[in-house]
Amino acid sequence: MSATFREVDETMERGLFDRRARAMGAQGGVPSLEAVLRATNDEASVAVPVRAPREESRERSGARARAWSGVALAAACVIAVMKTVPHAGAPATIAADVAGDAGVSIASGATSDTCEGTEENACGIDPTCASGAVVAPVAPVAPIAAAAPEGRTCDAPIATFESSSTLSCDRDEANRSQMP
Amino acid sequence: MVRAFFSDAADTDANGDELAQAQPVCDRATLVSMYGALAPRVHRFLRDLLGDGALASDATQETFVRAFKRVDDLPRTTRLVPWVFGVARFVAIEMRRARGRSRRVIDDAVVADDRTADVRMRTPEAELLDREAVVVVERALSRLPEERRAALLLRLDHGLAYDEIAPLLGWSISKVKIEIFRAREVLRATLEEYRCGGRVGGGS
Repeated sequence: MSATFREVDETMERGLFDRRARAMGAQGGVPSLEAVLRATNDEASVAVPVRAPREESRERSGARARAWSGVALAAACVIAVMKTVPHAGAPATIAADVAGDAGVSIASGATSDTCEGTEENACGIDPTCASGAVVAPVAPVAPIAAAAPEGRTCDAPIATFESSSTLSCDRDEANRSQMP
Repeated sequence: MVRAFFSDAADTDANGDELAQAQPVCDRATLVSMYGALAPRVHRFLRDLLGDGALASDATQETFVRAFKRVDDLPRTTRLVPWVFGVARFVAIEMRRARGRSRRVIDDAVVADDRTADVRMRTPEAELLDREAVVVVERALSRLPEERRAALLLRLDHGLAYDEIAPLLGWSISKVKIEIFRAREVLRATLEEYRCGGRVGGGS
């Protein structure tokens, strides 16, 4: 079938190529057989392609294409995650964290300022502890200190409040004395 | 004058078939005995693929060095000539990658220098026809992508059968036929331009 196809259609083209081959003739630059055999013996360790050339080339290009596709897909996934995750979760999380932190800090601050080291029962029974440290820095000192069991004192927070008020008063008086 | 290109096509038709249709034994001695006839054809094939005569010489030597190393390990049923052309094409691909050549460049100087004293033995008219055949074919080949050009060369210039070209290029036989058919269309169009305009594509 191929022979018939060639006889019918390829005669003119083959004649053209034959003329061209004849015109180019015995080209210079063709290495001699001796040179090739010498190079073959000299380069005995050079690797020779075993597979068909086209097959190897195609496999190599296919593997490279698959590798690039994988890299592109991974990059697209990373970009998509980076774009979606902060917008969806960040505001709610931050708000919740702020509220939770604030609540915890306020409650713990009230407890630590007024009744640090005391049992929860003592703070819960005493209305001054429950109402907060700002309201009664001085008056509840004696009852709490007296009622507190041994080894659990409220001295540290009381001293803190007294010293802070003293410092502030001293600073105010000093400021007044310096005023004209 | 264009018709004269094909006037003696019949008596030169068997140029490539002698090597391609014979089924020599695949061994080193056979390859040595075929070297004188096969090497110029491989060199021309590589020059058509690489577009550089000097580079084609290096590629030819590398092709046969590899062939001599591997020929004794081939199965006895391997077709020697298509296999050598397959090695040559692989070497051409490697060299083009190494040199960064992505496109074939026609070097008219190389074409002119490649002519030998054989030209002087023909008539001036035959010499002119052959020279114009070189220009037309070179111009047509320059318009073809590398793989299609290789298929056309293996078929028309070196006389390989379709079922020999197919494994060499990694294609099916149907695709080989289609690619060669399209390449021949380009070749015919180039010839038509030459016949109408006298010169092809404003070539230098």
